[in-house]
Amino acid sequence: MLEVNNLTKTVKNGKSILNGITFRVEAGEFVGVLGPSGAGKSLSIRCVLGLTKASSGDIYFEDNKDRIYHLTQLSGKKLRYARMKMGVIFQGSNLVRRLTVLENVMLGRLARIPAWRSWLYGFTDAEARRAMKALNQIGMGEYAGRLTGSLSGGEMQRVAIARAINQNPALYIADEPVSSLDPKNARSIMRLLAPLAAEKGVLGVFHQPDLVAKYCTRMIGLRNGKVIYDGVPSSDSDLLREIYGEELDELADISSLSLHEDDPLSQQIKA
Amino acid sequence: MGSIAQFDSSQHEALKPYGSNKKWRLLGRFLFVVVLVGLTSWQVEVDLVTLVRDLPEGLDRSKDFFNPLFSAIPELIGPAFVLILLALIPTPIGVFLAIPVSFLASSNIVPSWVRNTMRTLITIQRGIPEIVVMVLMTAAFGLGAYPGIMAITIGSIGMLAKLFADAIEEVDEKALESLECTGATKWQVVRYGIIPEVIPTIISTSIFRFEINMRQAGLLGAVGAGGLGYELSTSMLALEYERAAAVILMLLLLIYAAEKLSDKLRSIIFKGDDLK
Repeated sequence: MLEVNNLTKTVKNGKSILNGITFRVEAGEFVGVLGPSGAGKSLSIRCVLGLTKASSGDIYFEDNKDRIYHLTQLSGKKLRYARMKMGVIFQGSNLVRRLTVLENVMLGRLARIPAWRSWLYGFTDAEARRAMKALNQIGMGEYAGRLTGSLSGGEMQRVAIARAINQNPALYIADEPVSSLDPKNARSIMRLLAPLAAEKGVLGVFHQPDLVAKYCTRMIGLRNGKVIYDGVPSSDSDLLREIYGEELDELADISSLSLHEDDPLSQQIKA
Repeated sequence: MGSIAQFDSSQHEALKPYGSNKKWRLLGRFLFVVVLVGLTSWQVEVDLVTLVRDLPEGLDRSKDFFNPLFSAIPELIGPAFVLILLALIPTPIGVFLAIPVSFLASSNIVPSWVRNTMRTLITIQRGIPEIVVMVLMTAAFGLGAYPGIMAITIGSIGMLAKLFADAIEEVDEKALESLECTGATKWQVVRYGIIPEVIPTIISTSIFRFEINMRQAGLLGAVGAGGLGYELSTSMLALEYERAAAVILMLLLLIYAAEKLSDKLRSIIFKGDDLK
């Protein structure tokens, strides 16, 4: 479904950030990408979306109608067609703050309406109902009329997911969808992503190994712009140390909080 | 860390403004300002002694200003309408023309050379006061409301386009990128990513510009655009200070009313807007 082959990226000062990244995402998979900061996680995602041009390598994407897009070669109209089939879940704060929740969800269909209609008429009733359905699917129906900028981080993230669902993509791509959320919200977002992954497929970048281990079906470890692990999700400390190196210790402090919500100590803290 | 007695401002850059020399530096600044004011007053031949000595005479001469000729008010109602029209007509025209200009002056919509050229043009326009534009227009079209409306419109375009463009450039780039990733075209991103975010700025700035245009209309009226400003300048030239006072009173009332009206308008438009 998504195939990344020997992707490299060298930035202006000659520093190479991606050094031949290769991985695949199949339909129905929930792939979690982990790695220390600067490992090239987000940059790889940007290359897949055509937001950044790779220096070399190929990215192929196959949609649910068996059309194959050679993403690294596309631009203009063809790139837009490919993007229509990729449901991108950004950090929720990337929504349009001054539109209502429903309007933001409708924007997932923007590419499917003619440009003149987006200026002169806007969305139709049918499109509004469709967006409402997506909102209800993630339990955000009652927020439909609220201005998006007034929502909390977790609520915005759900709206971002509803927008991606409304887009009806062949694959969901999530760039750090839970990084800015507290552990409780992060887990509930993961629980929303899991069925989407089973239905279509999700490629996500995460910072919490425990969440990846719990919800993802495959884990990819990046370090220095290379894939150093690709296999079953694992929170094995030796493996994580290999991926994260020094950074693991800082990470462990945070993720241990979200890992053991059911242990007696955190129960006591809550009480 | 030592006590205050051991204060050493050479320890760190951030401590430099503190320490025992602070009061001397403040005194130095104060003396600098005093000397500067003294020197400039001497240069432009303002001297406090004359000012104080001649104050009673000056007040006596301008006492007519405190005695407005209320009976002149009915004949000033016509000119007052002209003033309102001088402010009211250019505002929507200015907004309408400033919007496309502001799009061409925003780095997130057009290539940077277009943006920079447009910004330079706007700056040049803003550097020319309305009154100069008015005088040029009068030379071309003769006296009357028409050159006044043109001058105020041009002045509105410059200021509004700059403020609109600043608002457009402030729109969160990530939100626009995420719209692009749905496969939307550039113009769809402008329509749904940029326009909703800048509309509040466009509305509130336009209302503010209307207030400014009221004042401009008074000023430009005096140099030939007609209306209350014209009445003011003729009364002054004819040394009819009581009539001039009545005109000033009306001007004040109108400008005050315009401000109240725009406050009201803003509160109606932004009612229930919890992001503002």
